[in-house]
Amino acid sequence: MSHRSRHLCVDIGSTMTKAALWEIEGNRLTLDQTAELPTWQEDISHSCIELYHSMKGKDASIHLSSSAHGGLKMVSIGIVPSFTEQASRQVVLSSGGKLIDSFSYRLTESDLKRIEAKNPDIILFAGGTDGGNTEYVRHNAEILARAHTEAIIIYAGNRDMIEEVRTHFSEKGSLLVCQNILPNLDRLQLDEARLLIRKVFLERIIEGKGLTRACELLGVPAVPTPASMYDLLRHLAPVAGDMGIIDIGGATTDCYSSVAEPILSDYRQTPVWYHGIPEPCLARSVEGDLGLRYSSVTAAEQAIGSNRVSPELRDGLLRYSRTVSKDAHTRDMDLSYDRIITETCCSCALTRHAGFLKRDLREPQGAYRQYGRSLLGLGLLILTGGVFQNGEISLDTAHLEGSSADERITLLSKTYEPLYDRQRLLPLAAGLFQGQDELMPGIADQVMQYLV
Amino acid sequence: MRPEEVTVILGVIGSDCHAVGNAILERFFRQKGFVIVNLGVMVSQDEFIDAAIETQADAILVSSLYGHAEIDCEGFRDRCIERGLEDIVLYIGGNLVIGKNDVHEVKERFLKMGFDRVFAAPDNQLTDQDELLVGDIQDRRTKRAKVG
Repeated sequence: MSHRSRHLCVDIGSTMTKAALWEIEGNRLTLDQTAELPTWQEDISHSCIELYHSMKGKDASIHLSSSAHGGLKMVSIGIVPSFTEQASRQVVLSSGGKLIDSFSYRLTESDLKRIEAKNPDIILFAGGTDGGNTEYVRHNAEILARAHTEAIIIYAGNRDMIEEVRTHFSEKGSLLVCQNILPNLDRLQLDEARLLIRKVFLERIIEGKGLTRACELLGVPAVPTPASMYDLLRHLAPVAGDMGIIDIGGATTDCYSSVAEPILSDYRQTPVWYHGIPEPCLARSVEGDLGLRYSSVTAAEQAIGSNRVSPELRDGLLRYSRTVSKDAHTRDMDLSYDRIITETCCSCALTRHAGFLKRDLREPQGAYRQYGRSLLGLGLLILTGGVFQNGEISLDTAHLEGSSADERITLLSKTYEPLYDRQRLLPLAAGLFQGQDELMPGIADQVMQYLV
Repeated sequence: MRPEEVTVILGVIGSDCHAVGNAILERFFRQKGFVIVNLGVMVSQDEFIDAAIETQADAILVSSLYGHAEIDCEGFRDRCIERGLEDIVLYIGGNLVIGKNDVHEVKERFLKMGFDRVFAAPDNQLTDQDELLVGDIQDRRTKRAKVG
């Protein structure tokens, strides 16, 4: 008799709370039931609990994720922007955090005030390779120790400075320490920091987000929704090959990619030399200025600036974007403008997410420099977000092509296949893989049957 | 002071992608015990300096083999100063100019640009540069201790 299990996945979004009941029998995955309710701002646990009561599957394992109340707000601190600051930002984004600010070199007094004003949940404090920079770390520890903040501070920098950093925070009691995220310039070590962030979220941050009631009733912890999506990608990658997911929201566009070999050795028979910290196989980037409602103005301006919009539509598009940026629930939705904005969010997010090649014009027979990750092998792109739900918007992938500027070549495939998440199931399917160390590619593959 | 206490940045500057000499340099200095951070080829000025800051390096050894060193290194010492590495030890070596030039004249040119030592071909054989490096860094550290 094959093994049968049921899974109730609930995702609490800022506007809607959704649930899906899945059944796994042997290797077969089926979707039994879905439901949704608006999220109550005053009590985000409320709709979650209501949904739970309304659905079948009281015997199911429960998986809970949330992006409500701004998600997990984090600040990253490093030294050199292209080294430890970038690594620190990568940890935040791949942990499903919302990066609210990022600092490099020496923190100033006004940086301190900015951190206090933004009130992060976690501050990721990195800097210096092991055996490397001590001076900036010392300075930043002294400044951070004076911060009036409830934030938990995670030190993930030069191991030589651990004891000294601890002495600055001995009274605060809110300093945690993990492995250096950049122990040397050739190696990223992000896993321990990510696990610690997840642990901190579960143990200390959930309460402040109003999730305690839901977690207590359902008997499970919650994870940030993007962290859940990241897990899904990890399980999908072995069966899907190089792939990406774009999640377009009202305020941000999230882009995830999984690439077997992000660093090229050559491009069209010309050697390529990679520059910067190593690119991991999985990555997430968030474009806070690109979205369908709150952040639609930038997208509209970009669309016009890159000549995607015929002259007679330009004024209308700009007016529309200004209207919806102020009133996300306006009745005057316009599908054709939404399509343009959606296409622009996707192509900009992809272009920014992908790396590029640069060739020095003085040495045309020479090699290329590569910065960032190569998505040349991208075969599949999953598009998700409320805008795709009504089935009326599909994108012309020719319009999604990344643009190249100056002597840069954007490392983005031109031949990927788009798949649409018309039922907005991805965050709910992601719950199936939460915290699963052992890969389940067979199950992940079947999630794709629900995409169109 | 021993080589094991010294961190050195290596790399080939500009658009130069000659990699073999760079690999030889790395092996030479590693065998002498130095902590080496090798950035490889086609390295920009800022990339050298970024690495030096992050690793708290004592010296940057710039290689150049395609003859464009002067333009690639223009303003390098000033950039180091601007970015907080005013007294880092800077060496340069390789085929620094195109065509036949007086090696002493070339050396003077690069010393004036702010390099501490210049190993212009044919005076760029690997001999006692490890000892010179330790000596120069020791001097710099002593001076810094006196000032601080």
